Amino acid sequence: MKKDLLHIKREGLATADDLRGRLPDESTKKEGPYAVIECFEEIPCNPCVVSCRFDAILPFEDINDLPYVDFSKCTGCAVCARVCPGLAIFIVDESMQGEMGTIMLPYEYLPLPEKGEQVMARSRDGSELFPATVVRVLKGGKGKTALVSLEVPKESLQEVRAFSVIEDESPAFHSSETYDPDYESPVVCRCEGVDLNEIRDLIARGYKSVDEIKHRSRAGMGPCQGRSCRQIILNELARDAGVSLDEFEGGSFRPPASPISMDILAKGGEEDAENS
Amino acid sequence: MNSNRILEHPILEFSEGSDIPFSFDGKELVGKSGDTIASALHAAGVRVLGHHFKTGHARGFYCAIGNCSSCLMIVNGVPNVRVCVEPLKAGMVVNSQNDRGVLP
Amino acid sequence: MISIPLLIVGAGPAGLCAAYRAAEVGVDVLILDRAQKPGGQLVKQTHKFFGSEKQFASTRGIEIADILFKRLEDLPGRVELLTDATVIGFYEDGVVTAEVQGKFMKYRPEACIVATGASEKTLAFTGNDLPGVYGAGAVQTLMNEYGVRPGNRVLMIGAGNIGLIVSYQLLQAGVQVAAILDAADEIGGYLVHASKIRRAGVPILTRHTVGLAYGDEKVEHAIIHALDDEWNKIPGSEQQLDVDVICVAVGLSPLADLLWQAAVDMKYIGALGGYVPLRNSDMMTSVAGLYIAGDVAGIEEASSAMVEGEIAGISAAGRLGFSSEESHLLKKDCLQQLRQLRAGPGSEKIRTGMALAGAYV
Repeated sequence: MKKDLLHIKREGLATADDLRGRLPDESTKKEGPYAVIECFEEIPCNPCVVSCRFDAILPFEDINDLPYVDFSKCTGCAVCARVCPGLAIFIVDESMQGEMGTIMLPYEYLPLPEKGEQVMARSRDGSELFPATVVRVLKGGKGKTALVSLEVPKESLQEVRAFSVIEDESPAFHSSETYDPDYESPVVCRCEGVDLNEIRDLIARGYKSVDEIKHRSRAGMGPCQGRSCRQIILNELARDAGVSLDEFEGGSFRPPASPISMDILAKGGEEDAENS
Repeated sequence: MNSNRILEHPILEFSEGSDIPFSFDGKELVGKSGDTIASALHAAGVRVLGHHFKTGHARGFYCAIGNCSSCLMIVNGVPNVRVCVEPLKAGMVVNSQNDRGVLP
Repeated sequence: MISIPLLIVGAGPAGLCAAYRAAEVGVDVLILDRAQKPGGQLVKQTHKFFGSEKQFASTRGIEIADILFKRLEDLPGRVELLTDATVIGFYEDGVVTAEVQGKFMKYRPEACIVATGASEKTLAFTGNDLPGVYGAGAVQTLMNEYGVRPGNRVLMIGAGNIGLIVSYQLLQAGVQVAAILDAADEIGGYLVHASKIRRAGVPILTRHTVGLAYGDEKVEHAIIHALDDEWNKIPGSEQQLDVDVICVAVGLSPLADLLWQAAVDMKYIGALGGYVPLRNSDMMTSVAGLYIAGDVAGIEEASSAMVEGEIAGISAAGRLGFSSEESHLLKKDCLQQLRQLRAGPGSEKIRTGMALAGAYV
């Protein structure tokens, strides 16, 4: 079943609600490690289901299907966590006695922590939770995705989804610098230095096609041949006319598509003599 | 000196590479084998490759794959060289370009 | 003038797959690519691919480039791949001109597959030409190809797959990402990519855009603001960020200059990134013998580019008289793969766009 994805598509964050049906029942949780697959969007991707030796991920009818774990078969072997291109699979183990369990997280950053090291456990939105101890590190090997296990209180096992190696505070991004609002118009054609005001002015004066604007302003006549500016000019034309973009001609295209030196062009005849 | 160089990476391996000396606006700089002129300049902290002949704005590269022609410079006296796709060679004389380019 | 059976323009995922399928049945192929090495944009994709085994799922793009290139050896047809070879002209009489390793060359191919990929769209905001405003592809190239950090603190514009993936790659290279903005009201890229970025503590601000960039001849600050439902700036929502790179990932446009020159029938289809060539299920354009594959045929993922390349390769070979029972079956399978890759709810726009462009859907 496809759930309403809108909230995740705005934030990029799964909530407890999204995890329903993704976790085993309480008695199965005590039997051993299991995979939590946080893959909520139907995209064409199947390495997890193909890689599982225990057929513990329900078979796909279509490559866009969502993966669901059969917890009676899942051994928590982590093969799927290694191959998942989305790094969306986590291995939870709460089968041990006591307060603590472990969570294994895919990790593709440097430095790779070592066993016994204290790291900062983080939530799905990257916020700091608490310091945690690394209990196992599986290096990435050929696939380069390392797996790092943290010891975490059992009640936090579904909160921790990342960690960072503890380092100095990084500076804040927000700045107090003030901008002198000496307005300048955005550049549309980087080659010929034509700005948005010039384009809008031409459109207001009755130039109504990419080619007309090109001939008047030189926008699109530079060495890139309009690759940077054409789309913006088309957008402006369409907006002015209040119609969709497909009503405009794309403009004319002539060789050379990329700059070539006159020297090379002039010597081009030599090959003809050799090959004809 | 090349603090912008990535020395360690979780996925990629970058070979040490040999030093490639070149000059930029009269200053002696060093790039690495495998560099383009633009990557060597960027690694050396140079972002401004010239100034636009009409607007006077500082210019840097934009696409880095030879599409946009924002990175035109004068290389060994030849103007309008797209330095983002021009392999760096030892002894190259690279200069900022501030005009449409004058034939050598 | 050099006469050749099959010319492929572009050695990216589409072009390399096309060459493989054509040479497999005995066609001699010439591939021209403007870069210094083959692989197109695959050579900077450090993430694992989605899709199925047939499209090398769970293998990193950089490795796929290698696989696709190496399997061109020892095929019945000979594959010649020339790098530093930029095609600059495609004439209506079928003549193709190129600058090949410093020489001007003219070719007359019997069939041609254009797999030139895409170029990055730009965004109009004040200060958008300051050094430090870089396309997302440029940032990837600098980091993953040349091993150079683009800066220390980056503001990413665009929460599509490219914006999300490049943000992740920046973090992997030890660069801070201040935020990812997108003018749309939802994240355009895959959720798993977005979640990965969020876990690293990077905010994704939908309904936001960049208002201006400023600094002394290079980016030093950016001012961002929120947008209302009519895409207008919400007064008082400005925030100023100290960043030295603004990375623009607002989408790609098919790099179709050669197709325009060849007078192929083109149509503006927004869902496919702009003007795209009309084609049939063989990936042939309105010009007989001229085929297309990959992003130039409409912006999609590299996985579909590879499959389109295979179809174009098989079809072009068939036109040249090289086909077999197996190649017919293979083409059917490829069409099925494409249909599957585009079957998800997130691909609805692509399906509509492809139908308008004449593709098999």
